[in-house]
Amino acid sequence: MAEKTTLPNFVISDADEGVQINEGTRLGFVGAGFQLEGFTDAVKILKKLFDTEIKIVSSGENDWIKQQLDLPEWEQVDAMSQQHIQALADDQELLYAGFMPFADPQDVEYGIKGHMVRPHSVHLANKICFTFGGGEQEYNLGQYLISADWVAQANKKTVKRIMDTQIEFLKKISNTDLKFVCQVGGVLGEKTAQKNKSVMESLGFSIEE
Amino acid sequence: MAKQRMIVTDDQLLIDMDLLFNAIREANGDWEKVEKEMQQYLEAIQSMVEE
Repeated sequence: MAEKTTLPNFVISDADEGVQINEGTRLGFVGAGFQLEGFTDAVKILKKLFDTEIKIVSSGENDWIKQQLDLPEWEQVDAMSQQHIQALADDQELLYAGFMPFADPQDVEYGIKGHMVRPHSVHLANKICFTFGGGEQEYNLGQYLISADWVAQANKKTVKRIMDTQIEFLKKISNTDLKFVCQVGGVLGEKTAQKNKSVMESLGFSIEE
Repeated sequence: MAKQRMIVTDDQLLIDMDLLFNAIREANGDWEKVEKEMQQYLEAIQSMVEE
């Protein structure tokens, strides 16, 4: 594994295709992990894998939080997202870096910079991209992002449940089926990335590289 | 093949009709708000390309 000083600045965010992290390496989870069963297990493994303090951000128009809290307006969702993700950060011992708005890139805390780059109320993605080797390596507006960098060390039932929940939700907000693609690059190395990919494939997910 | 949802050219935003109507629905029928946001989005993309 790479030396601690050379590790990327990992940041957990929503899986939304509109979240662009300009500075920091993104780990995607629906709702940034808020009320997502299995998230605690994933975070524990990610902390062990990266041996670094992981950051977390909230972001604009978070569909998962809107659904979970049954909120009608985006203004409320954005306000609640910030509160709840900050509380989640405390709970999971992550560092809350700030909020990614629909605006120019924002410098928030802990060296993280980013913003929302999709149009309001429009989901453009037609794919889900799983990251296997250490977070997002290349941003793509056509893809939702789900971190699967941790799955080889997790209980398979937990992996299946958290992935099914996220995939089902992303299909629902897209009103369409979504193809699965992946990024295998990153600090974890090719061997670990392939192990993670194999676990996903053994659970029945057919993923293109 | 998954359908294409949006194309951005130098001066146009070509967007899937379903997505556009969903955005208007989401804005409780306020099409002027959606029009303004789409315009702002196109301008933001254009300024990114020019940078």
